[in-house]
Amino acid sequence: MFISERYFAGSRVIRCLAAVLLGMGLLGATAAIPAENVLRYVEGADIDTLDPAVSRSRPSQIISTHVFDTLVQWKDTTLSAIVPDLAESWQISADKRKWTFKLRRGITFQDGTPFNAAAVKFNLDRVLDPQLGSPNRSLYAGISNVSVVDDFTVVIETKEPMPTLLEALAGESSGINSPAAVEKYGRRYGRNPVGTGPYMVKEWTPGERCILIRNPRYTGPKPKPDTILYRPVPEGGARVVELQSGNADIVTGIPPEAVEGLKKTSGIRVEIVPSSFQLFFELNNTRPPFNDVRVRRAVNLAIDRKAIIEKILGGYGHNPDGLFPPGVQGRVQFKPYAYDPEEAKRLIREVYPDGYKDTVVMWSTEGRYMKDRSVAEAVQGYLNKIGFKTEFRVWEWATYQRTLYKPEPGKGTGKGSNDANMWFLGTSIPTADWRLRRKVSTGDASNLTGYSDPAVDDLLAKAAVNMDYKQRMAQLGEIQRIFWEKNPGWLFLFNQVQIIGVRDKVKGLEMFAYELPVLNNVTTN
Amino acid sequence: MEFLKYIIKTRNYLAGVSFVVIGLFILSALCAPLLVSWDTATQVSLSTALEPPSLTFFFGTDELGRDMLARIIWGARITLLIAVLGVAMSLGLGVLIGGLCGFYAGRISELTMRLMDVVIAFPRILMAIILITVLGVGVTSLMLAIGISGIPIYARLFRAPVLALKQREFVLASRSLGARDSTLLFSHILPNTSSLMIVQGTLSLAEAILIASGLSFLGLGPQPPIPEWGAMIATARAHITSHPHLVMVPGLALFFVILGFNLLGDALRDYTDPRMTTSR
Repeated sequence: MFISERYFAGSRVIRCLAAVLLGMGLLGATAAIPAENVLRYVEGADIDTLDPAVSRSRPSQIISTHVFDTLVQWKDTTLSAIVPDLAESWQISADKRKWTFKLRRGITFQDGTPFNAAAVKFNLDRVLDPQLGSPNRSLYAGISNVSVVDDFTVVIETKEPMPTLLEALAGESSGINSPAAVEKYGRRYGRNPVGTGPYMVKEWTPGERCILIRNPRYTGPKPKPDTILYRPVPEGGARVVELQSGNADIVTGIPPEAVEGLKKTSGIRVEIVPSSFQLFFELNNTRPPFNDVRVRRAVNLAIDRKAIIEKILGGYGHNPDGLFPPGVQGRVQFKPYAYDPEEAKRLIREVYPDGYKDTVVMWSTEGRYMKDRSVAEAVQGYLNKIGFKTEFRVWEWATYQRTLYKPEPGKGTGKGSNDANMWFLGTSIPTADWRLRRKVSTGDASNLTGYSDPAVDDLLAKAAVNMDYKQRMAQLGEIQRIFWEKNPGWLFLFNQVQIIGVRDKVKGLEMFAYELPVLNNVTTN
Repeated sequence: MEFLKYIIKTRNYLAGVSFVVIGLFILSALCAPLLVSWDTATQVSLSTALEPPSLTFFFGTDELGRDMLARIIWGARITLLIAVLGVAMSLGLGVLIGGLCGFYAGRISELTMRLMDVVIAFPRILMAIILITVLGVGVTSLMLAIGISGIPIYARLFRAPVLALKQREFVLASRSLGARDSTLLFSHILPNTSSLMIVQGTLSLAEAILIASGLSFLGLGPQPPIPEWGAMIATARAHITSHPHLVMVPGLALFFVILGFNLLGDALRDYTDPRMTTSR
């Protein structure tokens, strides 16, 4: 008894000590963030990895685009042209298969490693290495060889002419990593990223915050905020409170129903920014009932999108008039799908005269897209109305993504082999080729539906090697037409808009339509 | 009946009110299909979304245009189903385990009780979440989660009276007349714990309802479009400033039902307490 009492007394002392230490630690951490010029950015979802080569999620790219530079970059948020970044200039050979890049001199990575041609080769070889298992690998698949000519000249050879090379090199996954850091950290590199960009990662506590500080070695124009504090707050209502209580300067993903209230709050303004995000239910093209294109067309006619946008999204959304929302390269507009449940029923009767007897399994996520769960429930209601039996399952985002993209050969991706008939997803990719290729080319790792159309594959193959921009866009436009009018692979829902709440003091925020911010020029006072 | 007389006699009006509330709850749960159709509760109709309470929609409509009253009524059915079956399961298995462990004191029963202690050390809601993670999301697994996570509580609770009862003269008398163990346990000992079962069962229903709605608030319960009070609060949360009734209605329903079961349980305890029998 005596011993146990002493033991408890001891443990109490330890607990007190721990509490004090913890308190000091917290104080220390708070004190370490300078009070001035901190930009506090709040998003709905968390960062998964900060290794740009393997990341495909927006939250991660918000950070990585500020830590990394790329060889070339988009000139502005309207994607008007591609301009130099780490590469000073580039030339293409007469046979269009050899690109020579001249690199900028005097650049060092944040860990002191010099930036040179070898680093570029290292990075491209790395993302192409199947061992890395990058989901972005097929973006670079046309590259056959990368060679170092001298310290500041690198030659990229492609198997065929590759019109998408510059777009790929301007993309987020082309961020140039420090080879020394990649070697040093190995598997833990995703937690310890080292680039050449204006900011470097000071601290990242998953689920809590990520702190970026200015990179002293950065040679470009000095970025305005001293520190960027990124915090994930999954719940929409809680994000609004963060803004109202003064704990955040920029908050994305404001729920539509909170907009009116926020507009009335002094010191806060709401910005409505166009988005290239389109939401849809991917339909499993490999098994009944959606293996028949008539049923896929029917469900597209069964949804009253206008009502969903008005009633659930509070008007903050657009009825899709094509596969690409405004802001996506090579966009072609079509006639929006009508709401015609009678025609939908007729089409289904054509395929299933006695009605479809099995249950349609629907998966949705919650908190990732604007009002995702409510929209999914509404879709379920519309499907029930045209006579489908449905079963609904709501997933947490991280598990959802992992399940959908499960990389088991033959069981996971690219084969429409998920245990569901339809699942809620969206894409905001701004480049036409990549946006289409990963979703509609037969057997691509990101083509979850198992969509396969020979005409589409043929056009994709042609566009992949067509160096004439106009012709290439026409080919990709033809794919959009086939997908929209003849052979839809999924159930279109709506085009999102970005609703961003900012404190009035915040000036100079730029957003890409694909929901990435440029924070370098933001001032907070 | 006797209990009702007791309530009137002791002027325990709170218990009377709770009796009425629980009665209404059970009645609407049982008669849900007669009162409103399942379609009214689940069919999306965006043209009537977010209507305030009116004569057509007594409690208004939710963001998908479904009648809140219909959803509350069908929600009562789901809630009652989950709570009753969950509690029945934990009561049944818990009493069995507790009874056996009390009756056959020995190494195995010691071990079983220690195992129960380990399980009890987990907060019940955490235990339920773990179980749902394993079983998958849905009505059945929610019921199982509530049932299984409650077993150790009953096992603990019922072992003690069994330990005491098996020493009592009437049990010893029966044993000396050659009664088998099963007769002793099931005909003589356990029936004597029935009042404990009723009281604890009633109080547990309140807890089970709270846990069930808490879990479905987190999205671990019945999947849409099945109406469940906790899930209804979760969806309505977004509209708490603009349409507070969407949160209030299922919230109050939960509040009254849980309070009702608690008050009823208290009254039952007083009623069955031998120390109070003199006043009866």
